[in-house]
Amino acid sequence: MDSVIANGKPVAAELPCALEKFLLAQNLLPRSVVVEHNGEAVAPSEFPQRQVRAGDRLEIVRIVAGG
Amino acid sequence: MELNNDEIRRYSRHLILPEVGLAGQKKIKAASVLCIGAGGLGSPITMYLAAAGIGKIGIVDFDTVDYSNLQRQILHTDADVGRSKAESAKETIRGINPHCEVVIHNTRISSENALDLIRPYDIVVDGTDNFPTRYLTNDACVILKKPNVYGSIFRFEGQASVFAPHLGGPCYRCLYPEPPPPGMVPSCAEGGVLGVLPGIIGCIQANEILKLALGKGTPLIGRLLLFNALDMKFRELKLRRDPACPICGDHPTIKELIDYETFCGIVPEPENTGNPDEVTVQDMKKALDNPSLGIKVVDVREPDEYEIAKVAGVPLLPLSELQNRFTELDPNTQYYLHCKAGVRSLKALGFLRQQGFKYVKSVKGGITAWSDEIDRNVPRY
Repeated sequence: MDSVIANGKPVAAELPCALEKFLLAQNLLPRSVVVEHNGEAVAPSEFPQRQVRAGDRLEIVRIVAGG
Repeated sequence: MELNNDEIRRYSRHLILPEVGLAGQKKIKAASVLCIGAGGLGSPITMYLAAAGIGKIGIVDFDTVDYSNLQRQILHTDADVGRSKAESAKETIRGINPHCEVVIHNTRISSENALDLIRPYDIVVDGTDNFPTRYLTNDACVILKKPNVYGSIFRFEGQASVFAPHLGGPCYRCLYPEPPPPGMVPSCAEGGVLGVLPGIIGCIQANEILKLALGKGTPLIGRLLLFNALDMKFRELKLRRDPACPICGDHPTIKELIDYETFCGIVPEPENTGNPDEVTVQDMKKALDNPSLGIKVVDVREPDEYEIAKVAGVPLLPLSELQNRFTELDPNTQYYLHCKAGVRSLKALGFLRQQGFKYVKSVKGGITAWSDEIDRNVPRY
């Protein structure tokens, strides 16, 4: 299986696929994460169209609310 | 806006900075900041802003000081336990700098009062601890075109940014259009937080506020700064305004404040008749299907029963052995306990709570409900 580098670590996934699908496959809530794709900001409304390919770099941050 | 001789002496280390100087210090004195929340983040934020000479600081907090706050909320002292946080904060801030005007709002910020609370201030700082208030703060700031200096923390990790769509950056909803379902993301009360962490993130927020007041430097607009205390590492993510954002996008659908409790899926108390210590077998399935949630399911029945029927992937820790073996479990992990019908798992829950386990739930109906509602292949006995 192909992989991407997510937060610096290799993650196996069926690629290429939409970013939205990748996030769901990782059990992440796409509306509650911030994603940077190959160094570029990605707005949540772009997740369904944005294609993730083998070797891509993703930075993924989950929402937290503590204060 | 003038500085008297006392103020000139007090702010001397600012005045000799070419980037601040007398003109900059006057800008700081002319600035007003509303801090929402006088807790972990609000403590360093308001204390440093007061020390730095911000002219007017507003504080919104309806809560009282709890003993468990003192590990990180340095605005409050041992003697303040039980007092209003807003009043305790005012006393501390005035002790640091009597030249700072402190306005306290000993009330819960809501859709009804948020615009009136925020309107008189130049800058808003988000030091709240829950999703409804964060979305409310964001929306009110977008509507009123006020910069919203954001910070949030959990366990060993923190985030900070400056949201200002009117200055070209994104807002909170551009990052997180929808809140996670209730209970999915634990609060600091449930998951814990390193005491010094809000100190670090709150200081970053205070730093950004001073820059905004001065009009100097590069603000944290369009960037999400992330901090990990265990690795002692900072990283940064680029952010962009979402043209489809429901409040600051090209075709906004939210034009006034909404009901944020409902938006965040929080059921009002009177309708929530279930036992708060219980979850359903559907919740248990979700936990088993999604290991990334970090919720572990444990079977507290006896070994003979486990032989008869069990749910795949669920380890056994019999209630009869729990007293001697509870140390095998981690008090900071979330657990769902199940038994045959949901009675013994409640007993196990009661025992673990006494041992300091904070986030334990009992599965209503136990493995019998699992067999009825999730998987008929699991025998009923």
